[in-house]
Amino acid sequence: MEAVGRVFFRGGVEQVALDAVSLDIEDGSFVCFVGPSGCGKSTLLSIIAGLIAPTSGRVTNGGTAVQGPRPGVGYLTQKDTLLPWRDVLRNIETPLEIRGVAAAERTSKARELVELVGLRGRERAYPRELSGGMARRTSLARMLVADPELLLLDEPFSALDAQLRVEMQNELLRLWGDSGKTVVFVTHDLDEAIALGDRVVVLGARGRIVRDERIELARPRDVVAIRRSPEFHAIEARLWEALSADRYAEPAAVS
Amino acid sequence: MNAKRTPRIFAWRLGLFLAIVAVWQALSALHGMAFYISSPSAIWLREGQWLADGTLLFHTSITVEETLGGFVLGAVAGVVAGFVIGPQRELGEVVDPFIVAVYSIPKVALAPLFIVWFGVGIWMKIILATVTVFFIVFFNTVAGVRNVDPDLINAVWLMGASSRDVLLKVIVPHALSAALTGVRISIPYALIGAVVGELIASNRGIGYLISSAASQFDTAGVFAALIVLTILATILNALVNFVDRRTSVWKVDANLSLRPN
Repeated sequence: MEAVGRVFFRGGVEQVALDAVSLDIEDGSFVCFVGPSGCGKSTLLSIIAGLIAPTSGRVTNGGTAVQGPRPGVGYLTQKDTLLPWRDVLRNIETPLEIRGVAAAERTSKARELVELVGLRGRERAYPRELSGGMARRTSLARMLVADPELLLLDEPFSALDAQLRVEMQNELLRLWGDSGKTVVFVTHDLDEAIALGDRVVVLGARGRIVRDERIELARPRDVVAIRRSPEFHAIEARLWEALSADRYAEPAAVS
Repeated sequence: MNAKRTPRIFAWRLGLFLAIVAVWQALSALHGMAFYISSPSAIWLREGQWLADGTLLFHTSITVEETLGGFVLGAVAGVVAGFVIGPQRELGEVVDPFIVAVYSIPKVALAPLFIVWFGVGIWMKIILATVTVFFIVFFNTVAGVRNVDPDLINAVWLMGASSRDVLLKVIVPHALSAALTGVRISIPYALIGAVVGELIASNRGIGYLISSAASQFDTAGVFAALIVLTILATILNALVNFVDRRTSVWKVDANLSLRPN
């Protein structure tokens, strides 16, 4: 995204996964989408990525319409999609290989990322030999190696155990730090959204925005410590209320 | 735990083996039993005699040659055919019933036809082994080409990959890895194909050794040949396990491993 990234989406994607969602996402910000299962969070992310097309409305990025997968975007899903026949280093190199970067350069770049995510010593391990956390780190490194400006994360840590999840959340905040990258983070975990984001967008059960709130908590943050602050609890209460209000409104709307 | 258990299990195995041999030897001393079950000592003598006069080496090398020939031809044909037919769904659907029909025939039943076509020489056995191996490798390769995890393709697609990148970096490695699973499974079946061919019509090979000894009521000869066959099969299985250990780290699961009938 250049000056201002604009995500604009209107209309329903099959059974109205998303209904007239429109918002701007500023460059360099960390935006979290939170909502119940089936609210269209992942659909929205796939549309931003250009993996699927919206049935109505449009997504623009720095003034141009998104029409398919494009360079400069990193995408991370809940499931690990590392190539099983490539070791850690070669997996991390994959995006550079696709861009046609010379072998020597991609290896040195991949090694930098190995250092950055703390995978030194495991470069030659295959995905099947990695623990859940190491596989996540490899996926993260693979996403970052091509230096994307926009990171799309779809429940990236929800399959991890609680302790590892916290570790990876802090890791992500550290890597994002002052990189200037824009992050769009999808989760069903309200705590996670508040702890990480500059802004939390709550999606309701019918794919509509029910609340869009700025999170004015100081950075750098520690995801464990921040959960104990009174501001955190106040925000959480407000957003939780928005989520439940939407849920109770649902049966009336369906019948 | 394992380090302590291994020697104990090995000792038990050795004990069991010696017990079987001792009971066998004792039973064979009973009146008339030697005709049916021979005896370990007679079999041992026969092995020594065959080893000395070159019989063992000659027949074993013939069987090994047929097994390897059939394995290589079947594996290559299976991989090539799998890569040709795999990506073309419509062609696959058209030829599918024909392939399954041929696959369903017990391979032994094809032997008489192969005798007519290729004679009773070594080629009949090689072709029988080839056909057996072919189907295993073919089905695994096709499954490998078709059952690529769409999430893997999406992931590479999102990196800005072209169709060619998707083919070369995802589909081909996945299919090759699945094909290798088929190749691995098929090694012992190549031996079965070769020996079945020898049993049906032959004047050389371990299968021939078994049937010719049996036709002369030479029980010691039958057992001696069976033991050679067991050793050969064990070596092939060890080879399979070796390949398996070297590749299991990156191999994909093709979710399909058809066995020949």
